[in-house]
Amino acid sequence: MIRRAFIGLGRPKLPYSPVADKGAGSVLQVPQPARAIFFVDQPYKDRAGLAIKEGDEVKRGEPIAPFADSKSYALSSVSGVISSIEPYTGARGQKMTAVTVEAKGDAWGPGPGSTPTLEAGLKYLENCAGGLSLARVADGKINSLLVMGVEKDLLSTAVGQVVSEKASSIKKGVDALKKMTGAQKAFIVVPPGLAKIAEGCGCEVKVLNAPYPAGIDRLVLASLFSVTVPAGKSPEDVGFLVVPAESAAAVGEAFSTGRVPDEKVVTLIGKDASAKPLNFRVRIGTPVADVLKLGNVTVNNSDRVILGGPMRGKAVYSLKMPIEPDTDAILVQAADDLPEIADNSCINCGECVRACPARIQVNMLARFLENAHYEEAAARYDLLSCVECGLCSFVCTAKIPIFQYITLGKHELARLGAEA
Amino acid sequence: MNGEKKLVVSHAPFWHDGRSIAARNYNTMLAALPAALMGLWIFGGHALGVLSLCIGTAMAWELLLNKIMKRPVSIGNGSAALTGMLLGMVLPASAPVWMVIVATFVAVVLGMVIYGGLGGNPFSPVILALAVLGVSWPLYFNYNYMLQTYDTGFAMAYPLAQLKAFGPGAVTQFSVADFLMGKQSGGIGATFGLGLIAGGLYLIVRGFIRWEISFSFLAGVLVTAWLFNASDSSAYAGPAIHLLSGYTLIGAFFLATDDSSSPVNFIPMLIYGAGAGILTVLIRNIGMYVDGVVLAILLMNVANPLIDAIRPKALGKVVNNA
Ligand code: SF4
Ligand code: SF4
Repeated sequence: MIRRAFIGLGRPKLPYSPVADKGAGSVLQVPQPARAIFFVDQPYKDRAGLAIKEGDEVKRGEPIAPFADSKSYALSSVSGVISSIEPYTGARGQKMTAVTVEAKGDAWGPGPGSTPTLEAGLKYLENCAGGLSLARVADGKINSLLVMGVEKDLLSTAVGQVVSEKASSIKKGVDALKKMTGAQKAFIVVPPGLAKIAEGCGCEVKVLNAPYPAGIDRLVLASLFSVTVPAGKSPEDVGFLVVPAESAAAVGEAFSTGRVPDEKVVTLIGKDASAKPLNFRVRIGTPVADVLKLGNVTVNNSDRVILGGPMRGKAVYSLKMPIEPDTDAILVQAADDLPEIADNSCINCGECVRACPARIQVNMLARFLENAHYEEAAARYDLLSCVECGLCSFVCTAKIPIFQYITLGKHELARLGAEA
Repeated sequence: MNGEKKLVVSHAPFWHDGRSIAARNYNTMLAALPAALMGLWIFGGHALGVLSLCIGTAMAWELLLNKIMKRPVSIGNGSAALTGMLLGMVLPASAPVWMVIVATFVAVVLGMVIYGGLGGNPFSPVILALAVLGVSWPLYFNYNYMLQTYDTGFAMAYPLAQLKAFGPGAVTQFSVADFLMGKQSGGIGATFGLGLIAGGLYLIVRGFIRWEISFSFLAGVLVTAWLFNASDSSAYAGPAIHLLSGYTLIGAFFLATDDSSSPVNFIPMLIYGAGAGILTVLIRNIGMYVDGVVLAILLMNVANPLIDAIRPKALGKVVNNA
């Protein structure tokens, strides 16, 4: 854990991890799981509304769309038989549906073909490795692609691994995505260590040489492009489609091989802080336990297992939880490493205000959120400007779980909006 | 569940940089210690009694209120102890017991607890207590009266009182070196200039107080005193005495910087600090009080919510100018 220095002036300094060593053996292959779980971003209502049932067969790369009245799907990464379809609530309260597949055989399902069209993308590539989202392309006018070659969080080196290995696939993917979206321009943002390699990606290279949280998409747009995404809007609204580097590579490979890649790279950070984090190539949907086993990380009661990084990840309650398309890291924390959270009230020290990259008055925001005044929090204290970096909680003297309040606030606001 | 591990689940972030309210308060007490010790050295046993009683009763009030209100006991975080310590440092060494008890009652109960505890207080608790006591029992803050029986081996006339009564000619006997070394009359822990400056710098370097407030406060005092002095040096003293006597230094580094009652944004911090500094000298030079620090900070505390509304525009904020 990065502690505050003795000299306490200025913002916390949290460098991203340097790009991992490349070469043979630097990425370990996790075997195909016996059982994989996929989340579909649609609430499970009742059995009557299902278009699939237990016992149905699926193949690798095949979209599993559980509902008769919705196109939402998840891509299967194994060939096998569906064993369960259940409601699932995400870490941030999202109502979703979990589909479990028992693996059998190794057959590939239908793919997107070789002609890149938005239709094919929407049908086969939504939420592919890296967590691509094309849903808003159709109604927005995309004029630029922003390929994210920087890590989403601290400690992870997965994105760097992908960029250094797959520049040519990224190039193919970028070309395909340009055709699919009509974008004229493509940019790739990378840390200084990848600037050279990134030149092979077919994009204009933008080097980001700044510590966390500079790599968050909205902050990248503000700092490198002078483009501000209005609060409550998304990058698509200002003409940018944000493409994770791994997704760009997956799109490239999908149209050149006809198969949608079903693996992704994940960094495993064990409890021993001095041990070097390892990168694994793993099928999406693989239980966390499989990766931990291969990485020789033992988990005890009261430890914490986090999908994603220390600042923005989400803790899982079971080792059966799967690697998701956008999971770049697994972080295991020992029970005695867990920082405490308190129900102190804000002492107005202002640390959060100084740390916030979105220039939010977090001290005031926290007060409104604590008292569940969500609409006021958004209207007066910029709840929707938050880029979800977690720094405010990280530095809070009173140890208030501000970031959690923020997530809750956004969730409640969206719910109120949907009901209205 | 069949052999599954029980994992701890919580929301991101999963790291914390280790700051805490307790560390903040105890470090502030540490920073105030040199000045407090010097006060004990100079003023002796009675000063020790006042300071201990201040800390003790401040904590006792908070504990009592915790119990009455059935709230978790919060004295462990050191905020009551710190409030008591700072309060003791700005009282005269001869303060009677009842005065100490009333002072800590005002600071802790009326200054903090009734606003919901630490963080809710709109005024610096110490400043509030000083203001209430100073208005109610002005004689007890008349240092010439309170400390008249002390034989310290140096001039025990209270510099600011001399200045007020007799003009700058009466304060030529004081030297900057004496002020810095604590050889002046004043509150128990408010006289040792060097100790207060060292403590303040420690807090700034460690990031426990906001330097913008301290520096702009001192700059406000300096510039205003200098302007007065330049306009009429026979009527108004130069900046040195204003900076180094009375409550100026303890105010700049320990009182104006109270977290809850001061701003957190850059420009507001400068306005707040400078405003308090300017008011301090205005009150001393043309107001009716001997020292202006208490009233100046209190007034800026009142203005704080307004001042702190001057803030940078948040990322992507949509301004509707309709
Ligand atoms: S998580 Fe906190 S620090 Fe980060 S952008 Fe949001 S409010 Fe600001
Ligand atoms: S860091 Fe925590 S205690 Fe300090 S102002 Fe922000 S919310 Fe309040």
